[in-house]
Amino acid sequence: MPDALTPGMSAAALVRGYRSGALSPVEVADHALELARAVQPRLNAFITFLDEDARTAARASEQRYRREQPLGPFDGVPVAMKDLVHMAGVRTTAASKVLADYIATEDAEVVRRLRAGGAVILGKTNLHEFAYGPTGVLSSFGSCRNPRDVGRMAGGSSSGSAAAVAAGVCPVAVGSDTGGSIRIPAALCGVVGLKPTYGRVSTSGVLPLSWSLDHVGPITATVEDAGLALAAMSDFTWPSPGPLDRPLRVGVCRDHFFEHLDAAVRECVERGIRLLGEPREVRMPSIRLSAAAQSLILASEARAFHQRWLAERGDDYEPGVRNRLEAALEVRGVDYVQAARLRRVMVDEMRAALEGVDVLAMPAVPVPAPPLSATDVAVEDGSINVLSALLQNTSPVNFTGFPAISVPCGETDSGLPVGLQLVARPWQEAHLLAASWRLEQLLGASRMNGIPGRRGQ
Amino acid sequence: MTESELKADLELRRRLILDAIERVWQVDLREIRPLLHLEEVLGRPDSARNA
Repeated sequence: MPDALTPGMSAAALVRGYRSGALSPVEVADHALELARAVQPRLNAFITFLDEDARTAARASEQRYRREQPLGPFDGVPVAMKDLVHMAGVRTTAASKVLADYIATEDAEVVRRLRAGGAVILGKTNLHEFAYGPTGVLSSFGSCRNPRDVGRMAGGSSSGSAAAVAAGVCPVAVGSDTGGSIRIPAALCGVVGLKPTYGRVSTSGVLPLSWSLDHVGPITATVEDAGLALAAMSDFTWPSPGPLDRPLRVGVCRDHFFEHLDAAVRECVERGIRLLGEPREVRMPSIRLSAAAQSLILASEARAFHQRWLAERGDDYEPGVRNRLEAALEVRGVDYVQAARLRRVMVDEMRAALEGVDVLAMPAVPVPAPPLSATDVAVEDGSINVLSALLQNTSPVNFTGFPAISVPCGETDSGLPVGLQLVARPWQEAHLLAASWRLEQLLGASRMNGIPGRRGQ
Repeated sequence: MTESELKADLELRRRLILDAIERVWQVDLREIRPLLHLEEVLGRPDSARNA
């Protein structure tokens, strides 16, 4: 490892090192590829490694720095790409036998943007098959495991992206989020996961799960990196993070979001909210219905996309994913429309809840990372189905399309990370990032999320 | 979960939504049109970016 490179270094720190000449994009890429392969037997975070492509991109980046003409603040940053996103000439498997041999012919728009900014893409990461599940367990390439405890779920569906960042392989990974697939694995692995406003990052060239709920966004080691990555992936402009000039007004909706929690999660989240600013109770009367309505829309749209493959190659799906797609036929046209009506109500309610506050705050996931084989998880008031638990607090924000982020806010006694979810008004990712950065500073979160020995409390 | 368990779960969710829509309709007596395109209510980033 180069002397100036420290484990889990952030993208911002890497770029500062490139600019000063203390670090080389080629050495950093080599080290990242080496580490990715070293942790692969333990984590199974990657499906495809792109050594040659990465080294070519790193050499080009190094030349630009030597000429003092980097492409911008993301030049030379190692990135891992969820294997749901097309890269020209590279297979896109979606972690499924159905697409095991599919080679993409074009780059997705998000890949095009990242390449234009000088990103060094290391490989394609593991996921819950076709992104249809929040555990990361069901993959035709084997389950991805949590770097904090390999006997536990990394969370999904962007399991490999979060695991790669949490293991310190790279500071940035790309994920997609239809019901929580960026924020859930970020929370369970102890890193930052940002779901931007619906439409902020192009989904062109990304295999859909549900067109009206899909979002693309970054999973990163730090909040600053999330801002840098979002700017590289979209038209977002990111001012450098800095201190806020007043206490934050934090909206807290106790209904739904604070139910069925693990006790340690509740404790960490309540402390995080108190640190962040002044809590104000808010209400969203239809919130209990939003997760159910979101799942009906998701089921219908996913079934429509998979209709032909299910008929022709049904046996190539993981049974758990196929079952969900088969069951989706239970949702009738009228149900879809009723759910879409409720969606309008929910958008209005979430917008109203944000009147007079800066952000909404709640646990990103009600429980810490469950064991790989768990079907139910223990919470304060009994036990609940693991899928319902993981999706409880994230899926309502896919329903409305508002931006949301999961930021590490502490750990359980056994060292499992807890994520605080913040939600802002549409297009106000800058507010989310500023609030998250404040929390990160107050909690003293290091840039070494996921590295053994870190305690973000 | 098995396919039959998943079907039962969807049926529960379906009923929950239908019942709620009926309640909202009766209490508020208002027209609620389906929201089929989020862009309709979120606007575009050009008009609100970093606001």
